[in-house]
Amino acid sequence: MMLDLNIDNIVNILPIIAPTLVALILLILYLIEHNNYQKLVTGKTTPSLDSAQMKSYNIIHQAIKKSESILGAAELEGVKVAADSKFRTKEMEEKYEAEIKKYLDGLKDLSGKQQSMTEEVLKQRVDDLTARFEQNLNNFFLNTQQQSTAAIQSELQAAKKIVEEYRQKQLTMIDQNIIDLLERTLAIIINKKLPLRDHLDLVYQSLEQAKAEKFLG
Amino acid sequence: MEDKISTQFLANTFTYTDALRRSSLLKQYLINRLFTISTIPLEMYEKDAAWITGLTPEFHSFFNQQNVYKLLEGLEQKIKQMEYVTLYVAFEIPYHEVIRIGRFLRENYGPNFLMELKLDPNIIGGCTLVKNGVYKDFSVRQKIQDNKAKILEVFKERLNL
Repeated sequence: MMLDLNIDNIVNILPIIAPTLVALILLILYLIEHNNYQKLVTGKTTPSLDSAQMKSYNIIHQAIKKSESILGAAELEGVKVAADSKFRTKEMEEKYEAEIKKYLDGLKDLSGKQQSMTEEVLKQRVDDLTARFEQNLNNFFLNTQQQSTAAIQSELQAAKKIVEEYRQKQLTMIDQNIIDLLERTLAIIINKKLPLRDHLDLVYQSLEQAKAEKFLG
Repeated sequence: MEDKISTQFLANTFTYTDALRRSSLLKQYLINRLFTISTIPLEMYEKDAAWITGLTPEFHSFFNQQNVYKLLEGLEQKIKQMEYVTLYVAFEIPYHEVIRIGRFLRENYGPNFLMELKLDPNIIGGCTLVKNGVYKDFSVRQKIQDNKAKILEVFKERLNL
């Protein structure tokens, strides 16, 4: 019986064949040793036993040859498998490397994209922040300006009010004093400059007024 | 008769002060004349002397030694009870003008109307009157006060205020 020697079959049946062969060999060796022991013990051999022994020797020889060929084939196959696996491993390594590289490139791209996205987002945030800051600053300046203007306006109005009050007060004082001044001036001037006739005319005017008002009856 | 005496007495006497003074002078004059107590002429103002000289014989005939004191007492009491108006004027009015003012008042308010003249330069011109405790200002000063607003307006207009 010839074994179908392709790689898959060898790989599949090797674990079965190898122990079987080893077991067979061990059996044969046991028989031989037993025979030898019997010889030693009895010092005699039997024909059947000899034929059996010869047969066993043949079987062993055949088995050994078979096993050797199997082993050789197995070794060959093993080498083939090793080379193949080495090739496959190399291929897989290359493939793996390529995949890894591809994956890394992908990661790189992704990280690049992520970075650019992050940068964009950051830039946007910074722009927003700057815009908000600018807006807040503008608002602050506007408020401050308005408050300052309002404060200045109210101060100005208060000052105007004070000035107006002072002006009114001064005008009132002038009004009060101007009449007194006029009276004093007239008292001096009229007494010195007005002739008697005019004085008397003023007296008669007063008496006529009193008469018109019926003050004296 | 008392009325006639007072009417003739006040005919040329226009002020309350003059009336009181002249009643006292008249008393001395008549007593001297009726009782010949003293020959020394009485000291008096010229105007008073002119007034006494101006008294009519009819006026003199009212008095005799029996009634002179009584009549003069009555005259003095009557004068003291008479109402008069006080005129405050800004300058001293000459006597002849006092008479004119007195006549003006009597033409308007009765033959026995008396006045009293006082000096107050502060009124500037015209006069203020006081009668029965009631004061009324008709002076130039009051006119200035009454027209204060108008005067101030004129001042402000001129001063561009």
